[in-house]
Amino acid sequence: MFSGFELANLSFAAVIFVLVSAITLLMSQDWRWSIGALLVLYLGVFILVGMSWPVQMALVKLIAGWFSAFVLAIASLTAYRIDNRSDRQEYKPGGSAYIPPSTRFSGFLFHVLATVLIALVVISVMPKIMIQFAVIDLEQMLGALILIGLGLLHLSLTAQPSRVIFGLMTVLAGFEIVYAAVEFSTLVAGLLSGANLGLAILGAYFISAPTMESSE
Amino acid sequence: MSSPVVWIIFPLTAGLLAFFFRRWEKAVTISAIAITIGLAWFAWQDPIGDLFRLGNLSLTLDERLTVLGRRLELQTADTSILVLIYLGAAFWFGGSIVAKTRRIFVAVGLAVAALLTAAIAVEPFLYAALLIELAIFFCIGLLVEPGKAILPGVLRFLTLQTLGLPFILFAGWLLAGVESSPEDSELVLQASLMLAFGFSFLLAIFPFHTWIPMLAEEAHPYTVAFVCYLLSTVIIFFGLNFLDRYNWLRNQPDVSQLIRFAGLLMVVAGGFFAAFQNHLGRIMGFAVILEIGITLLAVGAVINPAGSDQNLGIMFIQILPRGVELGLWSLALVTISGYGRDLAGGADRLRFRNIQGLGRQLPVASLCLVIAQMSLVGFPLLAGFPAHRALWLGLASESPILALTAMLGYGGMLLASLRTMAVLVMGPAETGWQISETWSQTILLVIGGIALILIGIFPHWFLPLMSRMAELFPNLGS
Repeated sequence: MFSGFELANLSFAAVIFVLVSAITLLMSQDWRWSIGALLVLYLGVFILVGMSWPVQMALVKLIAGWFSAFVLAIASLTAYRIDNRSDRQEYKPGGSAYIPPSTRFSGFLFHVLATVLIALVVISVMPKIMIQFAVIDLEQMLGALILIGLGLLHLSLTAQPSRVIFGLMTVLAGFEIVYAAVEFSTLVAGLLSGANLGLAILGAYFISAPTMESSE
Repeated sequence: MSSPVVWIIFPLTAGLLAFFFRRWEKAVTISAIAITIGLAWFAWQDPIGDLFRLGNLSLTLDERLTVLGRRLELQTADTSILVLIYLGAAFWFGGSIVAKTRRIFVAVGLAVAALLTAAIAVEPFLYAALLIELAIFFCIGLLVEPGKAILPGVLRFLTLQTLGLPFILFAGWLLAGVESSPEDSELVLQASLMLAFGFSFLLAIFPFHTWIPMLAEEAHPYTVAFVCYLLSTVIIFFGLNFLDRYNWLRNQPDVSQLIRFAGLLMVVAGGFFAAFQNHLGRIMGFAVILEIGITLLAVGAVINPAGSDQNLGIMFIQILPRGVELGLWSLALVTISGYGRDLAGGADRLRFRNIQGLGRQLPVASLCLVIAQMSLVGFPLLAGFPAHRALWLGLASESPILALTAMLGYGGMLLASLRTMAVLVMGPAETGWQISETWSQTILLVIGGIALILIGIFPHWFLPLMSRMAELFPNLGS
């Protein structure tokens, strides 16, 4: 299907995809933007993984990632509809220490500066890591470090269940890019996809559990 | 027919069925207990590789199942751990109805047991990290209750465990490189660091331990104890696999020291923080941390090249008492929390101010709670004593300072236990003693308490069987 076409030609675009999507996931407070960003993120991951794996196997990442995004989308949509029901009492999600950046300019600025800081760290450690792990391409490493760095930043700034899932998915996606360059096992590909799907299902459960009625 | 089908696929399928039939809670629980006891008994018969006759049908139980080009392998040597996992599962399922866990407890428990068995069976063994991660997802499903907000402890548990996964997988890749060029000291350092970080996350080693007391405070005590016990046991087995298979890792003095330092830190931190807690659940959380530390001390002592005469059996004889202690402890907490004065939400029921004097209404639960706590700190004539005594002697012969520092942690936990006893007995008003526990609670608690005393008085009945598990790791001085 992909004969004569090299995914490596799209590697730079893939790095842009993952950068933009990870920043969107970090900044956005709207679940629709977050789901869209996840779709783009996994497209970038697919391209970067496809540089090391056969395209058919790399497609597993794309399908599992998009499926995860759809699972989260369905749960978010359902929760959104419940939240906007006219007869519903006000629901206050507990335990969130997250301050939406859109509500405050200083918050937005903080996120931008933190992102820039992560970018600087990535750029500064890149040369040393590239020497250490010569089997990994520059674009793959760049994409992976961006995702891991921004994913960790995301995790450190939020206590909101769905956003923790987004952060973990971002970190795992970054790791998968690097790991794909050194490990070619089908079982590992399957299990990592399973882990992604598992995270998405947990995320969906986290979104809907507080509004579910207990039958126990 | 292969052994992974019997001990992985079958319980996984049973778990799925238990989920669909969860409405009939008692029937499902009894069936699950029967299944897990059956699986443990079958493993005890050591049938792998043997020929069976079922009527006219002859079956050989192969040890291997190939999945996506990789092997799941359960050999004769693994039967003791199969007995442990499935008998352990039966034990926890047995208390689940009385402990009033969620209806999906048994279904998830079966799936977790199957996944953790798969983690032991998978080859190459480092893929076990992925299976453990999947088991953690199931456990989180159990800890989050419908209709309630997501607990911060659950989120931290998920985050820290998931962050451990990349470190372990990447360490596996680096270890392959170390095997081919062991003289590359930088590669050795990188692999060691990756492993250290990976296991720090997975085993909740200080400072990544915070999720345990948080969960123990917020979630159902019995579920938390089940999750902590099963996961920590299997993750320790996973870690021992690394030490057993990589000679260079085992023989590095720094590795032994690092493990012992981590263990000591856990014991001291667990005991110290437990002494200052005002919540029975959090004390149990810190007890789990202390227990993980004790296990690490035992492992560190075994691989210490400076010449300890301890063998790995000392680590395995802790497993049985620990299971009974945590089971009894959490069951007592569930009983007490049912009576705690709920002033500020469910989690506060186990706070000291809300349980003052409850020992007079719940003497059986209170006594069993104190017995479990005392056993955990190695009080003489209780189940924890033989293992702790052997460990103390080993530590003291190696370094009296090390042993004394560890004693600080034990002292902290003992203080927590004494405070618990005082709070439960001293009520605001002098009321008479009465047994308010239900019959089922009383029976299970008494059985648990007697078990701890019996194991303590007659350790030779039980513990040699456990110490034989060390044969799974022939290179670790068993």
